[in-house]
Amino acid sequence: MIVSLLIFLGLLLLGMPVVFAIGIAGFVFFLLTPGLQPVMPVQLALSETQNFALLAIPTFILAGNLMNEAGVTRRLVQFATLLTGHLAGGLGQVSVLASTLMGGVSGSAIADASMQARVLGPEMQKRGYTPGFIAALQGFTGLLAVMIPPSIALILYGSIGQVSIGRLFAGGIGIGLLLALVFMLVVAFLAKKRRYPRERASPAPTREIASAFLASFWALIFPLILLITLRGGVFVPSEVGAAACVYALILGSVVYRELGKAGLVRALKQSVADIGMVSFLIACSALIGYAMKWEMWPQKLGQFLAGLQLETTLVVLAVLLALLVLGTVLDSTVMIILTTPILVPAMKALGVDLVHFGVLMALTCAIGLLTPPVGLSMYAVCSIMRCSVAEYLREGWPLLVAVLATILVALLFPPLVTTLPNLLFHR
Amino acid sequence: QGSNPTYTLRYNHVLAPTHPFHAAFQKWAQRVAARTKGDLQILVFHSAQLGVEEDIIEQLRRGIPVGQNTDAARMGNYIREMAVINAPYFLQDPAQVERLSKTPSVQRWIDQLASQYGIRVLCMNWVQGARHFMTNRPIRTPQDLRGLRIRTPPAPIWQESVRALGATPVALAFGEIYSGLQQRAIDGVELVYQNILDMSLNEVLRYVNETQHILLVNFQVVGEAWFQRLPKNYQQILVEECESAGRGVTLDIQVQTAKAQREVQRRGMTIVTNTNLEAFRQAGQAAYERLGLLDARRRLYEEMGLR
Amino acid sequence: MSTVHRLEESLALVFLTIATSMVFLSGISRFLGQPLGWSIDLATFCFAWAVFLGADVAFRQDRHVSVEIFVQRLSKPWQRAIKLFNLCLIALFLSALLVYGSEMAYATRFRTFQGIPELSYAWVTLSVPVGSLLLLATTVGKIRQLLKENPA
Ligand code: NA
Ligand code: NA
Repeated sequence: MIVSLLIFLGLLLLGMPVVFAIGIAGFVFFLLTPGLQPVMPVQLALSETQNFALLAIPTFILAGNLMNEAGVTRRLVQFATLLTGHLAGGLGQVSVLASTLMGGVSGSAIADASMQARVLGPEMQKRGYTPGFIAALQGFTGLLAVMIPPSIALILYGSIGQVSIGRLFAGGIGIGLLLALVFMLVVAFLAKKRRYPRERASPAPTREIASAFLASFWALIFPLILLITLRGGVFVPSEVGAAACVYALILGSVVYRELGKAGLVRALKQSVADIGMVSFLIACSALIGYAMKWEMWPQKLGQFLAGLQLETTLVVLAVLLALLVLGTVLDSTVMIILTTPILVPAMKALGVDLVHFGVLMALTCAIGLLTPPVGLSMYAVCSIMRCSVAEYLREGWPLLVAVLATILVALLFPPLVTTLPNLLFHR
Repeated sequence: QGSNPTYTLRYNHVLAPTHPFHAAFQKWAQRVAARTKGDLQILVFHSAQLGVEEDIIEQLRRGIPVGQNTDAARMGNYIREMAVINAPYFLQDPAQVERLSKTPSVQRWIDQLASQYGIRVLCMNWVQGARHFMTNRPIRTPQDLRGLRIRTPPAPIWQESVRALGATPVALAFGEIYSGLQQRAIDGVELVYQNILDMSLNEVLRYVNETQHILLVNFQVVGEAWFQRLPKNYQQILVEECESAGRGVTLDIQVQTAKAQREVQRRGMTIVTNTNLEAFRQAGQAAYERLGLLDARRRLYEEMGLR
Repeated sequence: MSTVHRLEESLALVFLTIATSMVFLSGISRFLGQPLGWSIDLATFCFAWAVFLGADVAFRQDRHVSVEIFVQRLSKPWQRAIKLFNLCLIALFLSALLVYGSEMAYATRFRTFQGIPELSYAWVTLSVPVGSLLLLATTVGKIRQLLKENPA
């Protein structure tokens, strides 16, 4: 395993595409470990594509590309420009707002970040935002999808750790909204400092906003319609992306009449390349993931943390820090699956509120999607925006600081998370 | 105890760490380690940590040192008739499971799994208990299930069994159960008591209808190639301790079910006990007919000395 | 664009379309009380093919991300040599996937999809060796391109 990690880091430094560096390093583990066979990587990589829950990622990517071609993006941007155009960094604020709304229908940070990078990225670039900042902004605002229900991460934590998923969902809303607010403040600050252009000199008149609202009505209620199909029992979270595709298709071909055959093919071609990148990476990450599971690394870490004799808040802080470090190389879903069963009993014994801890843990694990050297969400947005990881880091670090600060605040003031669940659920 | 075992088996199961089976697997591991002086080590992975069931079975068939807790429906993929063990009302209680495992037919299947498919069945006496329908309205007869979308594993035996009992089977991943129920994408599930507690299903379901339609029997399997690499006495220890742990946990679950029933009620669910079992039993016949399992049932019942 | 590349992209397009349609259909059919047992399996089957064909589409468009901050500091000849080394290693890895993927496809011929007992798992396993073969061809193309360029 150590050999594999060294190979991975070595190949990464040599500039090899990350997907092959992961694949080769993982493959070596199967060659070197007695009892394992070199055919297993094939099975494990394939198995990732056979996981129904992971279909949310490609379907949301396709939905984003379809909405681009359908004219949904353009209308949303026009409307948002009217609404926030007089502020510095108006389109940045729109990104935060859009992710908050999309958080209500999407449960996956990668899917949300990829979609919004595709939908809002080109428009922002036209207005002078650097690709690195756009990638970072869309990547980090994607975290809102993890906090605002539905959330795949919270469902995983709740079902493995035997914690009420209803309470977890309610707990996610509070920190999700706080995070959105913090993002808006950071965007406002950076916009002033980096002189991101204003769209207009003064606030738009109400009449103009109202007429733009009507013109882009179907695009604006898009998240609401998805929410209705989800809450109405038509779709489960994994299927909502496909529903979004169909809605974008109807909107583009029937309502706006902007989506022709050429546009449809363009959207599909774009999606095939996007998915070939993101999902192939997920498939190859399964090799390293299996290697870590085989050697029981997460379990060993859990035992080590349980052995620390520290104050409760400090232990939680230490655990979150460890997850942050682990997240730089491990996939967030894998981390939740592997560490929840070890951490939940330990937290229970310490008297920590399991809803409070779960929400913080899910958010911390999700940050791993955005931190180098391995971060699937980071790779996705960087690939879509065609920027380097260095550029992404240089432009986006204030957002990382903002999320970490939010987690710290939520750790020190548990009511931020626990008030809503205690209000909604008795006991 | 040796800290450097010659043989290490990684054992995978899909259940939660709170499920009594997990403790039983660990007990099995401890007993085997003690009797082999630490030379044969079993590492237990819960919640399908090591991978999905089909993949693990594929791996163990290739001789990779892994094992899996599985069921008759899965074994039915290899030997079609074995699925009968998972059919509605085939077995009544754990005592019948012990008798079933000693019948010539089952012995032949086990030999065939080993020789033809590379799957070594260590034992088949781990019983999770009776499966019941869990819904948001009381169910007493098969008619009450009509039109209800019930989540069921995708294998044909599960699907046909649930269909025969009157419901509409829906193949949905285990992890989607909670949100599927919460959003009313499905109307119910059919599981054992322990699953309600493991997944907090009391938050999204109101009734446990005690239909007892399937006695969930689990098989413990490893790779035949790996098994044959073990010394003969280790093989014996592995099997003996597996059977003993299985017998223990089966009893334990019977005790814990009463506890689970109380806990489920405390959490606000209603238990429906006056179900028309005879009507369900009659309805279940259709599954045997549709899957061509009538002969297999007759033969096994004869060998078990029933009817 | 060669015929193979066009075919590869068109196939990936079709598989992605079917996969998405099947996911949608699975929700709708369940809502209407007539759930389809096979829609999920068909969706993941098509998804696998879309992924492994799409991986090559992405590779040809240089869409797979890499960390280039360290290599960029080296001299041009070194950069070229490292790139060549990387591509050769990738070719070796893909050859291994091709060989073991073919073996795996043969080995899984008895395994079937749970919801579609008639469909052998070998047909989806085949997406790995086929995708690897296409990626291998692209890698070899990139190596030849690199060798043709004049060393700066
Ligand atoms: Na965003
Ligand atoms: Na969400």
